[in-house]
Amino acid sequence: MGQAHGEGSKALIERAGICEAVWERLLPVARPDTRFVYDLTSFIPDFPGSEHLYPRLRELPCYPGDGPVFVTPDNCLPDTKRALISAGRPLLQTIAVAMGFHFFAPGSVPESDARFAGTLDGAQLLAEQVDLDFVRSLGRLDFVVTGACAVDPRTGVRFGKGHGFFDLEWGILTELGVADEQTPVVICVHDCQVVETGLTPSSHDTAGDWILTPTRSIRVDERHPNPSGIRWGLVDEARLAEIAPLRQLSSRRTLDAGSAVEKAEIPASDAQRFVREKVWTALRSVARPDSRFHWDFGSFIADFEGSDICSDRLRAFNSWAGSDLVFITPDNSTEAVRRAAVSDGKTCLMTTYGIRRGFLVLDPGDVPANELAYAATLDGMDHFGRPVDLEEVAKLGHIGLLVTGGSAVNYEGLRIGKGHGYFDLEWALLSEVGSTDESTEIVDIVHDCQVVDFDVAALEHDVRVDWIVTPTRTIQVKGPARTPGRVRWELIGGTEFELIPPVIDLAASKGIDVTRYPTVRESNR
Amino acid sequence: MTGPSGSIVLVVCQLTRFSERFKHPNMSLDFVGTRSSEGRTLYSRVAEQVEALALAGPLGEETMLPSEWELVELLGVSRGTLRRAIGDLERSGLLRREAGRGTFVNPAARLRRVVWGKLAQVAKPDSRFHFDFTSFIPDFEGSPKCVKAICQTPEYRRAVTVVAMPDNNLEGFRYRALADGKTLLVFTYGMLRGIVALEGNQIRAEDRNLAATLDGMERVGAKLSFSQLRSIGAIDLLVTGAAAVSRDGVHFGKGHGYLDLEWGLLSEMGLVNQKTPVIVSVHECQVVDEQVPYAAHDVTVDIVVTPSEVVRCRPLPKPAGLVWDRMPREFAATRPYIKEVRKMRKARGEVA
Repeated sequence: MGQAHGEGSKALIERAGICEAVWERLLPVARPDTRFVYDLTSFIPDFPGSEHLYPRLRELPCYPGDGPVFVTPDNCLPDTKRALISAGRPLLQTIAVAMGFHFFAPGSVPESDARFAGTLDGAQLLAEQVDLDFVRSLGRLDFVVTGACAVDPRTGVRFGKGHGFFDLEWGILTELGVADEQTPVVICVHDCQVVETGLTPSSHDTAGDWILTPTRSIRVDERHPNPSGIRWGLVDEARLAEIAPLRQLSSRRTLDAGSAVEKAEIPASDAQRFVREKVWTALRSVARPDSRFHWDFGSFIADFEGSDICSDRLRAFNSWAGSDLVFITPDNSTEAVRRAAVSDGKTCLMTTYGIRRGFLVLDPGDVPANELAYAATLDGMDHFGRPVDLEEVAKLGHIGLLVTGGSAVNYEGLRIGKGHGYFDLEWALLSEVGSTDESTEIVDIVHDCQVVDFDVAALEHDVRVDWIVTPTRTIQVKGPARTPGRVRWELIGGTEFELIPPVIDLAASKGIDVTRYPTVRESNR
Repeated sequence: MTGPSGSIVLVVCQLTRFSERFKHPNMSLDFVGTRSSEGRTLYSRVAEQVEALALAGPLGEETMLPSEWELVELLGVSRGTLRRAIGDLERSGLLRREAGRGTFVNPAARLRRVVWGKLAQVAKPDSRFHFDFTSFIPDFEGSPKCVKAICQTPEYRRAVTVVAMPDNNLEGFRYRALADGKTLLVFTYGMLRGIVALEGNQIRAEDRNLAATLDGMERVGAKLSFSQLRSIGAIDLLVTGAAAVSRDGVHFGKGHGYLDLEWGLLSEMGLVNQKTPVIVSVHECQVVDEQVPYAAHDVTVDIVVTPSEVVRCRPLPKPAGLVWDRMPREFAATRPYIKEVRKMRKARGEVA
């Protein structure tokens, strides 16, 4: 089960609540935006007194100097930007991070235009669009100025409007080496946006050293540490397509894979993401795109060159010969295994994609010999397979062999899937109804590039595999004995997992009320 | 939605059970929200209520939501929560806010959602997308009858080269066209890997089923390069599915505009023109009788085929090329053929 379902989600809701509460207070004083009017989810508004922010900024100990500074495109900051330009400070900014960075060199704007230059429209017209190499060449920033929806004076943690643009900007600046933990961050807000939240900050929250309001300058004594680098695991193709500088960074990163990120200390889930992404980069040259998801490896487990050889190797296993019933996950990489199983007269038990429609049984007798290739695809499985509920699964008898794919696996047999935790749940469901036991073997079918020597602390629900089969190798994993799986109800409430039919069946048969575990999670839609 | 607040309250009361009507035994309807309200954020519950209000209006028309203060009173929530809910629905394409005028319901989005509610009763899930109709066009009960009806049209019988969309309800049609020896061109899903050519005369009978699926077609057929596609000559027929279609032949896709884009590309390359017949295959519940607005960039269809009916539409004009500013900017880099078409246009001295 994805680890993301726990604490993070509850915090997300609380954060949304805080922003909503602040918006209520802010609306009466907020100045409308020329595009978004009063839709505070779309912009960070200006407010009366924002002209007093710059004089306060000038008094901060981090202000003196002539080094470059970065300012975000929030509506409360044009006066500050105008003053910085007039003061001859090299000013780096974004208009929208999707468009990359814009820069005002000292003296590049006549004083008569400074007011206009401070606005976003002015910056678009007058500032120079610069690439990442230029930003890097600027060297360390003296400080960074941003707005916020809300800010906690205790930790300095800021709450944005919910899109994570500042986090992204900060991530890019730190990846480029122009900002780091030492770089002062100044957060400019209205007094009503300063709220003691009591929330525990997470490792990826950005926080300020100073909070400026029209009436106060607040020094944050115990600032929460600022993150370093981009969280690539959260960057999908759509985001890459949208945000130009991210794209440039990403392509550069592929060239010297990982050097910068590897050195940093990474929490467990980030480490998984990191491994996953590294493998995905390598996989791209040997994998086959999915008919729907193309190269979005976060959405499917890809087939690869040589997967049929893996299937031939598997056929030599004793557990293969000894099993009339095989469980196979609905991955593209296990298609050849499904073909082999049907052609060897074995009954295939499978789940549908995302277990959304529960289990399917593919009976070899139901597949005409000339439709073997079709039946083994996900599209074909649906056509020839017979849906079975959990009770029927239990009646199929003992399962001696489970075959799965994955994003990556280490030599201890710990695998990383596409990040949703489906295999853990499948194992748990089969264990709970007694279909599997300690004699059941689990085989992971992967490409050689997916076998990685990574170190992760095994979690209770991580399912170790017994064998790793690649096109060139068969690796037997020596590890501690596997314990039977169990469905972790506390991770299921409030997630899409509670809609999975066999999960519903199992809850009903055990008299479990999933809503008793309300792990509230925001839908992504 | 205008009128005294009393009638609005009534509508909301009726529509709180809106989602119940669209329940399918084994589907999770994220997009119509049958999830229990338990444990959801307040604003997402408010979004559901506002959505129900928005869907209640007449199908083809753009209507206005009650004013913000009316909604605040009606739903008993704060303005911030309401705005957030409306913001979500705006991002999903259902609503459009106009400063100083009000909040409008996008008629096409409403039409899709209303039809999807009915379609859920007869649709078959996708092997990946389950019942998420924003991601695919589903197969439905009775689609083999549509195949039969399409194959009886003179347009099909005359055709040598047929373009079929990668819609699930056309799987049977693609099989049939291969069996009939047509040259079948199929766009890959989301146009991500261009067009696959399947030669009906060369594909073995046992490979036809595989070739007819999205999973199988790229293994059986060959992806066409730009120059290969150009030299294909004329296309005699285009067959597509739809989210919904009007009796006049106005087509609604999943909402991403792929059909317009695909048609635009083919027409820029001179492979289709005003006379190229377009057949749409849909379930009865996807045909709307109302007059619906259509724009010059919308591809219109000539024949609507359902399991029980064949409707020939009075021909409406079709777009003569790509509408560049409607195409997402990244498509030139992420989708095949587009760069070449742009070059071709530049070479002809046309602005792209």
